[in-house]
Amino acid sequence: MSLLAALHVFGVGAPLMEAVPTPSASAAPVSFGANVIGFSFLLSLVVWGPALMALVTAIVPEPRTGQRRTFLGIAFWTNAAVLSLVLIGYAQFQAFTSGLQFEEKLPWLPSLGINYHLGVDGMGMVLLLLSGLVGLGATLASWDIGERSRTFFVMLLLTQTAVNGVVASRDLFMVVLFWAAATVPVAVLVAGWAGPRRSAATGRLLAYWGLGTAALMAGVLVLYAAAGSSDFDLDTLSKAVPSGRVQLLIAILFAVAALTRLPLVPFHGWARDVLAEAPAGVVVLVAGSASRLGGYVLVRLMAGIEHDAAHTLAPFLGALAALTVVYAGLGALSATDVRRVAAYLALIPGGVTVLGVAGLTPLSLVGTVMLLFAGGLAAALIAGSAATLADHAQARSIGLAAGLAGRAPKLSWLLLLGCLAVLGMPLLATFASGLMVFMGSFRTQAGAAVAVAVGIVLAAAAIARLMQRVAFGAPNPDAPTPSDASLADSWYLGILAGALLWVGLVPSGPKLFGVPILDPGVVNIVNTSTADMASSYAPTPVPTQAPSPLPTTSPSRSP
Amino acid sequence: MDAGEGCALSLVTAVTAMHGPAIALAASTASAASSAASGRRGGFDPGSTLPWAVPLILAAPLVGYVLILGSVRSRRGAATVAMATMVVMLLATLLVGWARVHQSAPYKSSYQWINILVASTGDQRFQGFGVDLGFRIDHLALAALVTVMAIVIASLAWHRVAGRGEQGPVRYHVNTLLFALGAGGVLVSSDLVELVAFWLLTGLGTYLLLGHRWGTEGAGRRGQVALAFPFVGDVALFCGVAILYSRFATLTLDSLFPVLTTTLGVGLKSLTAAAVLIFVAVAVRACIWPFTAWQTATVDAPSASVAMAAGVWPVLAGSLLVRMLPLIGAAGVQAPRIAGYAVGVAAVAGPVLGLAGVELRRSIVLASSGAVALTLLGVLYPPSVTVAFSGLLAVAAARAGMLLAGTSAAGAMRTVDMRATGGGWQRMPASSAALLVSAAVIALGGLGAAMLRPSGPAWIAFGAGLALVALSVFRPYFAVAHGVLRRRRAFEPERVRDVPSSVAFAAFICQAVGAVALVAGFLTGWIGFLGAGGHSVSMGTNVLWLIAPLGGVAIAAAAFGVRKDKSLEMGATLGGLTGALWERAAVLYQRLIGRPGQQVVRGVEEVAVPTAEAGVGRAFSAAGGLAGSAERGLPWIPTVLALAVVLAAAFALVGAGLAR
Repeated sequence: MSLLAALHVFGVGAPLMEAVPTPSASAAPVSFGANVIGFSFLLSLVVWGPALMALVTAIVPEPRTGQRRTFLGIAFWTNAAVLSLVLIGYAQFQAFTSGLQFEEKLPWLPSLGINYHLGVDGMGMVLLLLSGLVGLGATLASWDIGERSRTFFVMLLLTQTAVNGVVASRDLFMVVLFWAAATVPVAVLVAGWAGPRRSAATGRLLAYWGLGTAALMAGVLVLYAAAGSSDFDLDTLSKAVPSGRVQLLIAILFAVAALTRLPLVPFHGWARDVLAEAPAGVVVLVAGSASRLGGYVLVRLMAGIEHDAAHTLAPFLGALAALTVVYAGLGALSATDVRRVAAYLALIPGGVTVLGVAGLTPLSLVGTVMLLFAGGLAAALIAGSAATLADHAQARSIGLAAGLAGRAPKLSWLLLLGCLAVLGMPLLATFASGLMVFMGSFRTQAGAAVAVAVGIVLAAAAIARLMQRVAFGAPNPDAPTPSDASLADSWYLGILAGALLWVGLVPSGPKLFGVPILDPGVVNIVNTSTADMASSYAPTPVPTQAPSPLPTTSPSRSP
Repeated sequence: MDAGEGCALSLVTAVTAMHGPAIALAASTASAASSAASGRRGGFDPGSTLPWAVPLILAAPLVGYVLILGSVRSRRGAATVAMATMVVMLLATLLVGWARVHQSAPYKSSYQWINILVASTGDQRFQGFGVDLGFRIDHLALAALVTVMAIVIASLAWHRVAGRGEQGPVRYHVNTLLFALGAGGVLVSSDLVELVAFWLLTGLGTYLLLGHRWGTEGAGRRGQVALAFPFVGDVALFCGVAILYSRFATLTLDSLFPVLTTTLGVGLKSLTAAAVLIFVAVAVRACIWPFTAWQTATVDAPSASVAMAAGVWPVLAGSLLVRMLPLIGAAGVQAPRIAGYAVGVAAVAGPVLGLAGVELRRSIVLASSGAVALTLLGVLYPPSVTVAFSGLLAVAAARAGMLLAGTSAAGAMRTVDMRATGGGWQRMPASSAALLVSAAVIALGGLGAAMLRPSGPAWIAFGAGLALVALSVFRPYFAVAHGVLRRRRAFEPERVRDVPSSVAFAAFICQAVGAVALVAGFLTGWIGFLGAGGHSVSMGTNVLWLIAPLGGVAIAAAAFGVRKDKSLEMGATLGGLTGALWERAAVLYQRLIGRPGQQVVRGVEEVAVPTAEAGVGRAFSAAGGLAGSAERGLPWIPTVLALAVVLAAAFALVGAGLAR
């Protein structure tokens, strides 16, 4: 607020003050920084900062020969700054209040009901944190990009903007814009810097993501029309009550959009190719944050708005989740390329996420949102470590890149950690989140939950085979001499692993003698956004009269 | 809070201040202080140490783990820190035991790990979700803890000398402490999720220990089996706990059991499913037939690792089974029947398989798996719960000791083939004595449970099992300790010496614990102390049950003591047959399941998906071509107008306001 006062002196405070909405009765204060800094546009900085720095990167003069990492430096410091802002926002986040925080709203196209409306609840905050961590990791993973590095880092930063924009936007029109905007820079990154099969990977990416974008756009437009065509604001549209068939249509469109992005079988074709061919930085970004937007759409738009349709689609989603996890396990078992194995395994957190959505119980939804965070880190860690390992081993075949544990111990252990994260081992964030997903889903989707569990067993077999050949088995004398992780590789993988461990150990935040310190706790922050939505899916109490079967009526549905 | 407690609190804070979870455990002192035993006026009151001694059981291995990982680089340093950590853990356990010796109720304390309100409406039971880091220590848990720690300490002591040449000493000790942390956590957990978490951690430690030797194909295969196969049981446990939560909305055992049969809407099907899944987890990790493969396939791993896995897991599995008995009982007749038949068959099949083949360690594992099954069978029946559990502790410790002693002998004789061993009493008396004591304890481990057996067909399993276990477990003893040790190429029998006393002593620790637990199982005071229910054994005609194991020993003596070569050759032939059967099964598995599965995946990935994508692409191209032709052939103004009308109609149809 003091900054606003200063700006007021210079005559620019008034327009900005108008931009600050009157906080609702239940919303947290807009300022952040514990009264050290009063600042109304945290989210705008987080969203547009990378885009601005992408522009700077694009126009900055060509550096001298000895400064070939200039563009990397710009991208690194941009992501570091964004992460710092997000961390401050995270630490200041009011964990036990409902409503949006850090809200910004400006009219844009009022005649169409389109506003520049940003705001985050618990789910958004946690996904921004994920995006910040993954963005920094992706930049460090791209340490060795020398060819056309300017373009590379411009595209990287633009992808960051798009991802953050989807998460922070509260206007569905803007959500669609940012969602679509992510496609181009990612496609350019894959087309320009991926491996030999880059053209197939790019083509698939464009096709699937294009299909998803079309489905999302159609879903939003139908919802807009059904709500009276007045406003694209999420809060307005979420109050709409379209007829059953229209609701179902909207839910299916949103589900298609989500499933192409997450992805789930049978829309997984792009992920297998992109994660197996793209450079490590792109892999981390795509697996870690860009693909998690699918889960975000599924929770926010499908489960959060279309309650009846969500119930109708739940069994199908459960079946798809089970199919994805089982198929991913089988695919990982049969693949002979290290990066392909990791690409299949990276599908598993997405499958478990969708199981949580299919469960449609309060606990499973909380677990789903937390798994968006943890699963993104796990997928990024396993895909990134496999990519880096293959680079350092100069071999991708499991038979050739063999017995690396003795010669590349850091990378081997980090790959193992990624594998354990995918399996949901204790001490890692995926355990707490997967636990909630399963505990919640067993009540309503027991069959799908058991099938997903079987798929995870298959994944364990695949991981055992991968580690046996690549890490712990006998080295192949015909293979090139491998090298261990460089400092940049260690840092980027360490960031991902460290976040997984931190949230896994203290999901409710660390406390000293009962007093919270520093971290309010990911699970507490997630719960602020899901509690209201999840109450619509709360199981009805069992009647207290004489013993009877479980009630056949479905849980109460909002609004 | 008095000065003593304040000092204790300061000590805990100082020791664990760096570590988040350790801080959490330390914070439980505040709540635990109120449940400590009432202090005596004057003199040392062990009850006053409970607030820090209990968390120390888990904090010690955690601190040791971080210490070794962060700052120790030498083999000796790692071994010393690991051993010191285990000793601290043991001392803390004994201190807690001293404090609780006269308290029959379990000691409880807990700290919240997750506690959230997930819904504000609906069934009140499901409106919140919480997982606690809790301690629940009764006499049974204390006995199990002491047994587990004795096994780990003995294995570490053995490894310190006999395992000097193993690669990665720092890594080895770090993994051992992870294993110990997980095992301790399983035994003291009060929350089901906490139990599952520690169970999985122990499994991870087991995988890292059994796959410790890097750089060989055999090592890689061992690791593969050690991770993948038992994970089935771990996932079954997780699913069982998830079913329980989904029906009862509670994760604490003490609050779960009273509502098992009184919760409306929950029937026998759910209880049976949960009980069976948890029993599968018990059976897999206890390594009873047909789940023995994950241990028999990893006998080439470092011997101390094999001993720890073989000794500790039966204790953990048995402890879980004892704690889940109310669930199995509440699940009607199906679940106990399934469990009973499964362990009954395992009690016979395991030792029979142990007679096939001549690999020393594999024979010990299979033979003792039958003894483990017998004790688990006893645990399933209320009258013999405590006696059988005591027998299980004896068998577990003796199993670990026998593996250590057997490996010592095999190392000295430069072979694991029992046909080439012998003359143990002349050249290796300490190891031979260790083998004898271990075999005796294993053979008699199920005796107490047999004496209290229920009426019904269970006596068949007990009778046959006791005889077969004795026969099978004494076979390695007779093969190593008796007969002639022959010369082989590059091997001189005269050069065989017994192992250093420290190595022999390590194995004796396990045998001593096993023998004590076996004898104590027949003492009424001990049964009352453990307090898990059931009767103590009364001799009299029950002594006749001794005929079964003694008969087995006699047959073993006749077959492997007197006609050793022929008997072992027959065993080798049988082993070759079973090996051929396994290979055939593996080929069939590949042909019927493995390869078709891979073909399905390849078919989908390389044919179906590209075909579908190509078809969609062609469809879009065709549509594009059609649009292009339309654009060329049709006037654009009417075309645009027609499209606008179509879109408007579509919006109108789906928009609000149109009655449906």
